[in-house]
Amino acid sequence: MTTLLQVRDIVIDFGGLRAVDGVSLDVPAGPFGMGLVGESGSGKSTIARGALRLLPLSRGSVMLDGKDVRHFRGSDLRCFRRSVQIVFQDPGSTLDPRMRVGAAIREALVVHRMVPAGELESRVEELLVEVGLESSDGPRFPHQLSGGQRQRVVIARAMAVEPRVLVLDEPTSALDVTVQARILRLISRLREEHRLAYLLISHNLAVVQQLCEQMAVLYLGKVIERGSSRAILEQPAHPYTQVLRSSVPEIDLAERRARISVPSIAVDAAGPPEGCRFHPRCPLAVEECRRIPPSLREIDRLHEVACHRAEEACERFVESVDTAV
Amino acid sequence: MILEIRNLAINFGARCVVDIEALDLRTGEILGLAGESGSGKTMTALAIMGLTATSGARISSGSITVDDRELVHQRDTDLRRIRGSQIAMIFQAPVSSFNPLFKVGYIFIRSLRLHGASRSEARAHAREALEEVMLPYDMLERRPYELSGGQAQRLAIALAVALRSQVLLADEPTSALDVSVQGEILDLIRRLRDRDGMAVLFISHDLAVVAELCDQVAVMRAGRIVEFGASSQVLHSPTNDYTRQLVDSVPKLGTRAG
Repeated sequence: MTTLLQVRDIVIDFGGLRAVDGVSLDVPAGPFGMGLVGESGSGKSTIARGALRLLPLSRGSVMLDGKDVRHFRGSDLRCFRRSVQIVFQDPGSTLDPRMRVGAAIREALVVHRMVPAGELESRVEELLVEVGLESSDGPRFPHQLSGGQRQRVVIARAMAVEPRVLVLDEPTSALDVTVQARILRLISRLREEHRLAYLLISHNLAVVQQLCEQMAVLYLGKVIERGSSRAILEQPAHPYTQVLRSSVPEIDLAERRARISVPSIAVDAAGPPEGCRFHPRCPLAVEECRRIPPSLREIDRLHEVACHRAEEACERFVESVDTAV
Repeated sequence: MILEIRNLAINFGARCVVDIEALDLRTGEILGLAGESGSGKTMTALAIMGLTATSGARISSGSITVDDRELVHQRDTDLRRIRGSQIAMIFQAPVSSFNPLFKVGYIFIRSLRLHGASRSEARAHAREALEEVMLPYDMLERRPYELSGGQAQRLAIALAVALRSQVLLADEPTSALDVSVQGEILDLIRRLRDRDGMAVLFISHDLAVVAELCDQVAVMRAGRIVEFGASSQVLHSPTNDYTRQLVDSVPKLGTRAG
């Protein structure tokens, strides 16, 4: 598997606050999905913005096709910008309210000289149809569209420049559940047809499971668990991932499990705890956890965890599943 | 029956946005009001609070009673006595439910004083209520923007507890919270029901949350209740096509879903 986008040990600071602290991720060429999960403030969006060169890195590097993206200038930079695109949570605020949606898509085509001038209009129509809108929707303004339709426009605009990596930052969180289901289907269709690789940021583990082969769980700016989504969601090994996993509400009674809860301690990201960052909330913490920050280690094929006590945590999780109502 | 809604119609001008024949809430019951945006969930809750006018809507007919007292078309001065003391409402964005200029303690004590508590009673009630929602008393020294989302939602619930509200209207109270914090808030609501017999109208677009928390559920679409029943029944074997479509749209995580 060749690596398309390689994030190497990146650190991102906001003044004195270290939002991302030594994160590495490998995104292979598409079709491929990598999910980023974690609570608000854990650094999900910051990592994605760092990877896209939208934020400066304090340390570490991001490589696209083995080339360091920080060195791109001029036409290389333009080419990089084309190769990576981002879709945000709120489609209402990513579209210019005074620009017709067709013009918004057209602008992307023009900036990146995607098609000859004579073919612009027909390409815009094609893109609208591709994302499930009508070819006649171009002259409409964003406010004349529903939230789901607007998100389709944003996706069409991103796809217009034929990106290789897409960042989807909570793309369906603002949408109704039936609309969400349709957008998720659209994303998985586009990914196959265009061999797309994406980083999907979501707080919804079920969405990640549906769209991502791999996932990384973040806690206070560090990756605490990563690997195959299936493995992590079936047997989360980090106590924090277990909290997340067991907190997911389920419609199906048979799938319901006892919620593992931990004290919610307000942690100051500007001065994170020594040792393992999760130790003040962790029921399994021992002396080692208070002193030595754990690094990622493999506990199974395609499954890494940064926890000194992952084996104990796994046992405990299995028990909690058995005792679930 | 602590809350009864009969033939409630709410209009935006000529357009009818809510048309509910009957909806009842018993003491100690958690009733889910589920549906997509625009289905009329929030408007129904605002009608119960007598706040439809703030959004430009109008109750055109029907009746809402709490503890056998009619709420529709009551004077504001009468409603003010009922709001808070009998019915409390919490919202999706808990931090913005508090005025950022004041310490939350001031907001807390003032609300209790407005409902007739003496200064020392107000303090005592506040202390008990914070204990009940498991927040330290010194939380009252903070300003709203110094609270996390989970803390602010706990505080909003504590205010309802302190005012001894019998009915809690919870409008998407966990939609803006992280999933682990959401679990804590749901546990808290469940405990208030079990311990104090609080009746809860729980508005949510998240059917999985409704399935876990609510005893009964009413599914709304375009202002009407299209299906009603025990939430285990309705969400596992929906009889209405629209409910089934909603249930099928929820991404499922279960190990068996693969």
